[in-house]
Amino acid sequence: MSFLAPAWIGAAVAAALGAVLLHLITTQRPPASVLPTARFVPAGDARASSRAARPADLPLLALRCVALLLLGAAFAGPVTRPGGTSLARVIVADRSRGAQGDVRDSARTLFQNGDALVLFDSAASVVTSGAADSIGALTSGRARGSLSAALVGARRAARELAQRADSVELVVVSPLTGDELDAASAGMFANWPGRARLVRSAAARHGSPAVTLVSDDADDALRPVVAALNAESARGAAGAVRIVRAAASAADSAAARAGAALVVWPRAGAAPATAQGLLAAGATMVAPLARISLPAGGAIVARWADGAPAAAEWPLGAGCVRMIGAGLPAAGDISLQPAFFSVARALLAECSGAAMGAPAADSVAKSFARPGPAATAAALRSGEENSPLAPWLFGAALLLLVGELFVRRGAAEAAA
Amino acid sequence: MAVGPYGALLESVRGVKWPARRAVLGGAPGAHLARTRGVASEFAEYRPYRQGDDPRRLDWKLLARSDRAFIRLAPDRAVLGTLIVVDASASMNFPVEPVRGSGAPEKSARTKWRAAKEIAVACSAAAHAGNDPVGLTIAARDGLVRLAPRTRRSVVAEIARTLDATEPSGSWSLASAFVGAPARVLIVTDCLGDLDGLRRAARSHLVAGGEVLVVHVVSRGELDPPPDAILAIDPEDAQLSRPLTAATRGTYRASFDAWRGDVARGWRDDGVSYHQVVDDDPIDVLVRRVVALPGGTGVRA
Repeated sequence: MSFLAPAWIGAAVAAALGAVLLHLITTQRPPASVLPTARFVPAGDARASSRAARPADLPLLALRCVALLLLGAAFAGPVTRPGGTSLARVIVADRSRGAQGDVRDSARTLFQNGDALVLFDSAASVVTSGAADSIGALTSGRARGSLSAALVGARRAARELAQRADSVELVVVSPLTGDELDAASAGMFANWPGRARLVRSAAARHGSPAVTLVSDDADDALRPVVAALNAESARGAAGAVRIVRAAASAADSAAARAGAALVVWPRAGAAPATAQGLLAAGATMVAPLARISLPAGGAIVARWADGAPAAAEWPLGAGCVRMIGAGLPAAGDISLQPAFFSVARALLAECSGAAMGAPAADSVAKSFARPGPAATAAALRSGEENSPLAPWLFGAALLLLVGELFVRRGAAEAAA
Repeated sequence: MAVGPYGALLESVRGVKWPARRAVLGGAPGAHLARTRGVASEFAEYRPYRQGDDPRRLDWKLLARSDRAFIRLAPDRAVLGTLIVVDASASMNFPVEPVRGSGAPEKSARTKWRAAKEIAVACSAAAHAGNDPVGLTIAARDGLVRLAPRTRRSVVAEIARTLDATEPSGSWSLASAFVGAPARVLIVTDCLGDLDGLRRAARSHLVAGGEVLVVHVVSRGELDPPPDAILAIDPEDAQLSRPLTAATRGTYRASFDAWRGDVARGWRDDGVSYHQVVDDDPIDVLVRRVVALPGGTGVRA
């Protein structure tokens, strides 16, 4: 038998000890005795406090103590469950695009029978069976990782583990790149009620993708930014982003299906260029741009200042097609301005959002590890499990308290 | 004379006489100096002969020398009737005496009542030693128990028997004991009853030429109550119950001491011979102090 909230047991024992102390220091009428000169005793309350070596009113004390202990036990929530291992772990393995093969090796080393496995990228999945096989088949994907999603999955797996384990340890195997963290990550980790370990693996190389511009125009306005992005590129995968200025060709579609991001960025043509505000991935620019209509649907990549979509993305095979609805004017130096470079970096990113982030700083990573005792099963189950014995214990305590009322009244009448 | 448990006490006060504090009224010949002049051999003064005087009391030698008729006078002596008034209210039974045959220890054998009985018997013996008539009045629950003043030999034993047959209980005013009382009245009480009424009656008796003595009996248990907290109950007023604890003990003792001082002052201001005795004090010493004249001893006739 164990308790959902064992602290109540300690509180009940303390309350019972307090009751014993109060029975040692009782306020009652002293024994009556004849004193002819009683008139010279100052008038006052006929009751007087006295300390006794033994508790007074033993039956009443016993009733009160048992009632308090029963109340404590009821609040503590006793539950019976089959015996389990003393410590189990939740292995949270990163399979996002930022991870590499050593996540698999670390997870395989850490995993033991009885542990739970959670795989995560942008979403988390709890592996309920065949965890060893899942670890063996673990590869990094193209999706961005989300530690918040991983922690949600870990909490869910931990509640399952708590049914058969006394305590649960959280082990996160991840390179922990910056793009895996969001505003909720720290708060969710703070809710983990025990020890947590972070096993950092090597991160995949990060940086800007290689950009290919398919254009016959030697003075194309996008050439400067393409050149700049390629200069920043560290991955070196040629054709990771492919820009076409007109209709896409079969070769372009093939590249997209192979995993490249096909960016269709038509020229402004006859569309009038007016002052517009454009926002993409936090970057903003205000410039005379031409609005080009986009087909409906797709994931919005950039928006105009009035909220209308300025760029959208559709998945295609292993890659995607991204339509840009912001035409650059034929003349001018807009494409040379730093604001345009910032916006273009977001518009010319790889598929599925922003570029992969760099590994988080060590100080940040340390905040996702916590020493101390592992999370207790009771803490993991708190508020989610009910004790079947609690109502009976409450009822018994209530009966005893009613009985205490009668015993106390009887004792008072006997004393009177 | 069967005096029961008072034998040792009476032996210790043997020879103690109880002189009058002032000249007594005339009466049967006795040991006390009377206000009247008699014909005893001890010369006191002359008085001119008046018609009706006994011619045998003329001083014939003086008549022969001076040709004037004078009566020869001598101091007269008379008896002094004494009444012992004993307070037998419930408050005198303190500490509570164990019930006889109950097997309870005899640790509280000294009670105010026992002290009062011994004082009454010893003082009656001292009065009786001067051939004075001695009587007894007990103010008990149902009224006054009276033994008229007598001079017969067995009067002390009768007083002892009457006292032993009385159990203190209830409450009765001692003031009514002065009705028809002889010249000397000794009151043995704890002064916890109708004290004002008693003092009024005593003052009236004094004004009438009587003599009043008061023995105030106090218990050691009243002076120094047991240290354990108790709910003190007045035996003469069951409604009066107050907690005597460590916190209230000091106030109680101060109040009790002040009250005893007031009582003593009041009696003495009234002209009463006042004596206070604790129940475990030696009674024979107290009796010698009571019967002694101011500045003298009671042994003197």
